Amino acid sequence: MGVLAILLLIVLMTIGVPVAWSFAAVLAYLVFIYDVNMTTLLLQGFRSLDHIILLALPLFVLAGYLMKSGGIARRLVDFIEMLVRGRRGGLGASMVYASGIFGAISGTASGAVASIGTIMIGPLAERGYPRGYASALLGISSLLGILIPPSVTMILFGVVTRQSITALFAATIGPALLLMLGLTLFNRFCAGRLFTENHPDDTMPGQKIASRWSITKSALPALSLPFLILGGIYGGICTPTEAAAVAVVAAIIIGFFFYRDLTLSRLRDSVVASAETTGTIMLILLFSFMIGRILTAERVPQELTEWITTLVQNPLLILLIVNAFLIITGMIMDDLSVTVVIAPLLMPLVVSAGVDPIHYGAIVACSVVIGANSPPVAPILYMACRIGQVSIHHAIMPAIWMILVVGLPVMMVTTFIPEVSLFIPRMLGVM
Amino acid sequence: MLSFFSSIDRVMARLLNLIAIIASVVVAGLVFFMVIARYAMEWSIVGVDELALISAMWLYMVGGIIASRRAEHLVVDFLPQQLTSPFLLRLHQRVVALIMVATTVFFIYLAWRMMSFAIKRPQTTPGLGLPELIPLSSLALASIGCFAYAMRDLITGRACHNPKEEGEK
Amino acid sequence: DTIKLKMATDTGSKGSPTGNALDNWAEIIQKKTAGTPDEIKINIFYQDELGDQKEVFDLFMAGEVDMMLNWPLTSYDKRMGLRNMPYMFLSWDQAFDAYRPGGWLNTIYNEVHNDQGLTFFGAWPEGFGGVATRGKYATTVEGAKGIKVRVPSNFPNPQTMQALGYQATAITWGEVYTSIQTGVVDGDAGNIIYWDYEYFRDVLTHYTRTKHVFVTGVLSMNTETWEELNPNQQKIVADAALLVMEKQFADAKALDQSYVDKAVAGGMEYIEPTEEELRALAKVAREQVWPQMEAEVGPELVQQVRENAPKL
Ligand code: NA
Ligand code: NA
Repeated sequence: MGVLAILLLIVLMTIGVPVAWSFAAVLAYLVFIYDVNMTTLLLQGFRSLDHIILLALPLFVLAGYLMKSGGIARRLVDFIEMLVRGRRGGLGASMVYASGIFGAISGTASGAVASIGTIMIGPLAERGYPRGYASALLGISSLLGILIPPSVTMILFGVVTRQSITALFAATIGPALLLMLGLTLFNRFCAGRLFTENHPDDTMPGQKIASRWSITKSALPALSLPFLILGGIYGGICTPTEAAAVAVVAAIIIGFFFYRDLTLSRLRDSVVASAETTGTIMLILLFSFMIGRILTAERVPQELTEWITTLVQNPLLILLIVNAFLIITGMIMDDLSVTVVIAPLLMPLVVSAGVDPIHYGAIVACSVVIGANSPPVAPILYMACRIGQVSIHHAIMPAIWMILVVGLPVMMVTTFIPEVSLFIPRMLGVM
Repeated sequence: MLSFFSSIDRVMARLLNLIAIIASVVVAGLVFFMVIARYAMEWSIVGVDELALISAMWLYMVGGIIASRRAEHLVVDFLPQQLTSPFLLRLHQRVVALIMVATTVFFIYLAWRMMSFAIKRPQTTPGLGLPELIPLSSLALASIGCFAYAMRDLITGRACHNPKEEGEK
Repeated sequence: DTIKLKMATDTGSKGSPTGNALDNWAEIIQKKTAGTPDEIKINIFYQDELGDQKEVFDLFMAGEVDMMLNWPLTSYDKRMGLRNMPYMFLSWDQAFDAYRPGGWLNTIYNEVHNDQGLTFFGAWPEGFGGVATRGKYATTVEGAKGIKVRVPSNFPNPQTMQALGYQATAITWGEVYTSIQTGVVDGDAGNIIYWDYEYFRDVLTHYTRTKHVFVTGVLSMNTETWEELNPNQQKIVADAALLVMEKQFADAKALDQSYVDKAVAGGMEYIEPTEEELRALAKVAREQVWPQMEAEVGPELVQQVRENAPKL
């Protein structure tokens, strides 16, 4: 019965019913088959949203919007581009690094796609990078936003599984560094082989040559943001939620007074746009939390665990099955649904295989990196294609190669070498 | 008649945006204040989190209504993008809108049951004793707002699409 | 025919002291009624199986859960927070006398629960709360200045800690460990040593038994369900609850002491303020917080506490 609910969810989503209302329909189905008490059902959904930890989500989403409208993203790109200028595959690599630093301020991937993409895809195309390739690279790089803290994905995972956000944030740094390294090497290999990179010694076409010092000076306020956020969390000044508010306030100050790109009307538009993004996520969460409650009360995760453990006992094999499950559902579901519905469903199984929940959080984050870029349901890749103004068909093959050569190995290493994810949280003493 | 609806829509848009902006400012401001109060001023802070959470619930729900108004929910648009026949596209839109209307009616029913219980057994927050009906009513409002816009989509044939970022075509 | 009841707790999984108490309560009832016309069967739900603390309490109030061993929330009725009133007792004996059937606090709690549609059976104590800290500690109001502690946000916990000189702040349970580790706060206030030892021992160095609150759960039942039982069943359920309560009063002290021993063996410093220091703390807290309680739970209740609480 519970499995049928997941199937129904997939069918509704695939035919194009908005994710939130697909969840609502599945909830209605579960209420119908399980005779659920409806007096307190929505109240339970409300209680799940009513968490101080979840406040970090709207705030980090808002911080992401403010980075774009406040000119912070552009200064970051200029700075990174200056550092890697003239190297083979340099401009591609700078998109990876820019996404990484952007990720240290923003909590989502879509923010990086929109801001880094609008700034960089054009110059990349002029430099000779195929638009499909550039969009695929943008899509997967932007996912650094959820691996490098702060991360909305880890906030959600922490809320549904009741793990410490501070520890989860630290656990995905290792995989993020691996992903950056992998993408840089992949891009360096492709540049000059799969396509010719034009005049790599120049600056970005059309850009005025500014002095290294003036670019650096201009980037300093932007570069201070990651230190403010991560330093605040791990330096004992604030909790992750509070760091999100600090990020918003700092982004507004920098946008208004340092870069002066931010105007009142841009600020208003950013706030409304981020409220809308937050709202869509929260409606999905509201319904998925209620679904989760019913499934737990009906002991579906436990039965799934028992069923799989009667078939397989080897912990390594169980982990492989979990990985496969996460990747397959990641292909056919959106990243949010995988994080809040599928991941907790598999959690008892993973814990029974001796895996630390924080380590599992890192595995889930890696699977989201893959899932968000793997067709047919690849929201981030599709968005990157819209920004890159290229048909999806041109981006699919490069995306698949990046997933096979970089994304999957990173996920496997993260899965089977716990130190990759757990080293940093242990070093920081947060677990 | 049309201009009547479009002027209602404009008023609603302004109202929703205004609530979203106020709620965002309050949430960011209060949480920021919590850091300053504890770290810089060394004050004991009681109940600030409760005020922030109430504002946040309004932000979440009004954000959801804004998404419905703009027909911009997160959606897997693989299938509609493969459809080329205008008839099939129209049919697809109506089927999706119908499902949205049905699920929002279910949402309204759940909200109705919740509000009945909440009015019969009112609760308050643990620190400041604020009525829980304040955040709960945002859910009831969201259920009605989302239903209204789903009805609009069913009648006008407007298709739901993914939120667009600035700079997207 | 057989009556089927749902029993739940908001704290403790299967095998924990709370979980065992539930098992015990259910077992006594089922054994006494098995095979008789008054047969009762009980389905047990441990922590998180039906949702978090607030959710389970909603279910209890709505009659979806029938019996609970819980730490009642103040959201439906502020008077439920009476057990958090600081320094109502200074010893276990005083606490037992107050909570046993016929005891003064038992009588008060009975009324409060009745008004909420709940039937009160008795207390399930864990022990006296304290302040667990990292790197520093205090036994006086002066010494506590500048020590930031995480406090449960329900009234009057933050107010009590402020009265005792600490800087109180609200942090969700899930972030307490990392917040102590990174230094966002210096410690956790109001818990018995069991929780601080079980969850935060790696980041804590001191536990000071300030005794400002006597931490206790409550054994109770939804009154609608209670009234569906016949007098014989009601007696069996209430007697079983009393047995569970008496057993816990006997066991809790020893269990608490065993965690003190464990914590000390693990390198934590355990501090008991002197009688004099304790009385000074109690005096300040009573002077500052008790008047505030009047607005919260009503002057009559506070007056009853004033009449019955031990003199300092
Ligand atoms: Na991030
Ligand atoms: Na996918």
